[in-house]
Amino acid sequence: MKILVLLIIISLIVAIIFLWLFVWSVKSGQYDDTDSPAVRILYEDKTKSNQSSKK
Amino acid sequence: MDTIPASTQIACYHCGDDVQIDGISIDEKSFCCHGCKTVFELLDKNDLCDYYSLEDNPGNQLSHFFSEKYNYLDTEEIADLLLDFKSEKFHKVTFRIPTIHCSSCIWLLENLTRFDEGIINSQINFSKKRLSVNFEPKVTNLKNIVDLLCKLGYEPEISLNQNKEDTRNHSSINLIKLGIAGFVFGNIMLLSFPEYLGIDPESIFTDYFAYINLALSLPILFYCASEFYLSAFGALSKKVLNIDLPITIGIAALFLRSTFEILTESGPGYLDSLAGLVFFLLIGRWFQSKTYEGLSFDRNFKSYFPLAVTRVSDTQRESVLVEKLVVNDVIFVRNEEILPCDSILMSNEAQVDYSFVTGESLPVKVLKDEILYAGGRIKGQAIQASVTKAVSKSYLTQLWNNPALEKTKEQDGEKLIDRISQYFTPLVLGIALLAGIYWTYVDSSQIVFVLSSVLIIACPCALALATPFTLGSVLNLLGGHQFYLKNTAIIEKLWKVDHLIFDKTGTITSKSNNVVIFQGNPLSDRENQWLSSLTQNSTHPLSQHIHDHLIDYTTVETSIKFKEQSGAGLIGTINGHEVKIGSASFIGVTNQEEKNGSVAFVSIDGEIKGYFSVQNHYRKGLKEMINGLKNNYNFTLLSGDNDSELQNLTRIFPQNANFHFKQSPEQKLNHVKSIQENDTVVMIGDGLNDAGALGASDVGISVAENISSFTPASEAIILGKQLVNLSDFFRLIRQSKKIIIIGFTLSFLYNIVGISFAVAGYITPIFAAILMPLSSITVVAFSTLSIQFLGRKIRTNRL
Repeated sequence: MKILVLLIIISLIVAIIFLWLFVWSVKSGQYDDTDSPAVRILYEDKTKSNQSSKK
Repeated sequence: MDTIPASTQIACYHCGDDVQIDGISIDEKSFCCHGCKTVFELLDKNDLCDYYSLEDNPGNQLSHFFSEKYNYLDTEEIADLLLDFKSEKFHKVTFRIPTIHCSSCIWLLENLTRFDEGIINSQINFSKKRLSVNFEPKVTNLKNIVDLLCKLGYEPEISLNQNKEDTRNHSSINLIKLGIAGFVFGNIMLLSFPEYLGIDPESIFTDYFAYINLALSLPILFYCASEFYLSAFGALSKKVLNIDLPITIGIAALFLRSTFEILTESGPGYLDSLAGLVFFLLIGRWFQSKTYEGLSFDRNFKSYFPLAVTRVSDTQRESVLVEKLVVNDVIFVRNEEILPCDSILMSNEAQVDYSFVTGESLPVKVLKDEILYAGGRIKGQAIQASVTKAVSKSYLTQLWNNPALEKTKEQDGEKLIDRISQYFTPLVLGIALLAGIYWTYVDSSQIVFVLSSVLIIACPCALALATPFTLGSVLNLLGGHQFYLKNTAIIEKLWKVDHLIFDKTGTITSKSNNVVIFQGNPLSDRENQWLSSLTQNSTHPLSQHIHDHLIDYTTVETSIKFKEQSGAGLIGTINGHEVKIGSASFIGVTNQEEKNGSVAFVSIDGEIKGYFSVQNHYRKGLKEMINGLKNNYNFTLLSGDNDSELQNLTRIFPQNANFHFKQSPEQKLNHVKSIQENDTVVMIGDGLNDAGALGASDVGISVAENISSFTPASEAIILGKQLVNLSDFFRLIRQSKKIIIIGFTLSFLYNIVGISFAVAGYITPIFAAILMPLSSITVVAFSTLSIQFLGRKIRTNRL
C-alpha cells in the first residue's frame, strides 16, 4: 500500500497540469464567446458545383 | 374609424415582416421590399442560400442606406482610426454590429470571403456582437467591406467612442479563481474521504493526506479568497462592517484551526469546509456578475454623432472627421444625416427633425441665416451650413457636460446585505465571547476549541449567497423579457424608488403606429388613390403616416405634377384633377376649431373635402400598466412636445400626476433634480433630449424600439413593446426583496443550529462539512426557484 504515496503524487501532478491548461485556455480567450462555436461546427464545406443535398 | 381592408399575412422570405398586397416576388418567394429582395439575390448569386436554411426569416430589414454614407472611409487617416492592426499585406478591423441575432447571422458573416476576394477571413464574437475582419489592403478596402455589410443588412456601428475590450480581463480572472477553487475543493474532499468514512486514524496516510490538503489550500487562501479580504478591510477603513468581514474571520479561523490540528496531529482540520466555502461564494459572485456585453449602457453624444461629415471648400468636397471642424467651415449635410455641430443655415431653407433631441415630433422648418442645432437630422433636401461652434461646444454637448451629471452616481449604495452584516458581525463576536467566558469556568482547555468552532460555523456562507442568486435570477428573468439591467445593484436601488417620470414621444407612444382618421365627406376610392400617390413623394412624417394609412390603394401610374411647399403642403395634378393636402392656411380653410393631434386638410379641384388627423398612438396596455403602478408610485410626465395631448393623458394617468410640456432637455434635468429632493426617482425616456434627465435620476431606463437603436446612457434598457409590462417587472423586483429576506431567515436558522452545537462543543469536521453545503444549497435552491416561480406570473408578450 505504500505505493499509494507515489500514486497520489503522480495523480496530483497530472491534475495540476490540467489545471494549468484550464487557466491557459481562459487566458487565451476561449471562453469569451460560447455561442458561436456551437453553430460553427454545423457548417458544411460546399464546392462550387453544388450537388450536396440540403435538408 | 375607417375600416382598412385586411392584407394577406404572408411573411417576407428574408426578414419575416408582413408582405403587402403589391409585394415583390421571385419564384414563389415573397419579399416585403426591394431591400430584402436584393439581399436574397445577392446571396443566391454567391450560392449562399444556406442562410435561409439555418433559421426562418433570418434577415434584417435594410435601414436607410445610400452609397454616399461611408465615403469618409476612403480617407486614410479616418480609416486608420478604426483599424486594429495595420501592415502592408494585412489589415484587421473589428466592427460592432448590433443586428447580429441568430445562427444565420454567424454563418453569413463568417462567409464574407465569398463576396469579396480581398477578405481573408472574418470571425464573430456573438455575445459582444462584434465582427473581426482580416483583409488584404491591396485588394479591397474598409469602405468596400462596410458597404458590403450594409447591403446584407448588417450595418456596423461606427462611432467616435470605441471602447476596446477591457472587460474581458475581469471576467476571465473570475473564471480562473473559480476554476482553481473548484479544483482545490474537489481534491481536498477526495483526500478527506478516509475521514468521512471513519477509516483507521492511525495509518500513515492520515498525516500524509493532511499535509497535502494543507498545501492545496494555500492557493485558495492567498489567491481565490483575496477579494473578500480586500473588500472587508476596505470597508473597515471606512468604519463600515460589510458581509465580507465575518467571511474573512471565518476563513481565518478555519485555516488557523486546521493548521494547528494538522501540525499537532490532533485532527484532520476543516480544510474541506474552507475550500467549499470559498468555492460556493465565488460561484455566487460569478452568477451575480453577469452583464449584457452585447448592449451598451454608456453611450454618450459621441456615439450618436457621425464620425465624419462632408466639408465644402472653394474647390472640392471632402470628408473630414467631425472633431476637426472649426468655426466657419462650410458643411454639406444630406437627407437623413445628422448635424454634427451648431451652425448657421446657408441654403434657403431646411427641414430638421429634432425629435431625438428635443422630443418635438414634427420637423422644424429653418430659414436661411437661422441657427441649426447639433443632433438634428436633416430631412428632404440636402443643405449647406456654416459652423458656428465646434462639436465639443455645441448646445447638446454642453448638456452632457452639465455639472449635475459630473457626480457619478454612487455605484454601490448601501446594500441590504451590508445592513444586516452591521449587526451580524458584532452578534457573532459577542456569542463567541460569551461562549469563551462560559467555558473558561467549565473546562478551560476547550476555550480555543469552542471559540474557533463558533467562528467557523457562523461563517455566513448561505447568508452571502442569498442576494447574488436571487438578484442574478431576477436579472436573467428580466433579460428574457427584454428588460436589460446593467447589473444587480440596480435592483436594490429600484427597491427605494417611489416616483416615476415618463417622457411622452417614443416612450409611452409608439413611433410606429399612429392613428389616422379622416373627418369630412367620405373620399372615393379614386380620390384615396390620388392622395396615396401624392403623399408617396414626400418625406414629411405626416405625409408618410397618411401614405401608410392609404397603403392599400395602389398608386396611379400616370405622372403627377408634384410640388411640395415645405411646411405648408403638397399639391399635384393627377388625371386632370388638382389634389391638395396640407395645413389649414395652405388649403384655405378658415375658422377651424382646436383639433387633437396633427391635421392635414384635403381639397380636390378646389373643394375642401375634410381632413386627416394623425394622433399619437399610446402603447397598447398603457392604462393597465399605470393602474398596476399607481398604488406604489407617483407620476410625472415631461414632454418636449406641445400640450395637445393633455386631455388624453389625464384619462390615462391618475389624478395626482403632473404634466409638463415643451420641456427642453435642461428643463427636464432640472425637474428631475427638484423631485429628487423629496423622492427617489426613475426616469423613463428614449431620446437624446432625455439624456440629462436619465443621467440625473437615481435609475434611468432607456426605451428602444429595437436592440440596435441608439439609447442614451442609462442603467437599464427596455424594449419598446415590453414597456407596458413595467408594472409586472416592478412587482417582481419588489418581491425579490422579500425573497432575499426569507433567504436570510433560512440561513439564520442554520446558523442558530450550528452555533448551538458549537457553543456546546460538539462540532466535528464532518458536521461542518455537511452543514455548510446543506445550508448553501437550501438557500440557493429556494432563491432561484422562487424567482422562477414568481417570474411565471409576468404576462408574456401582449402585442
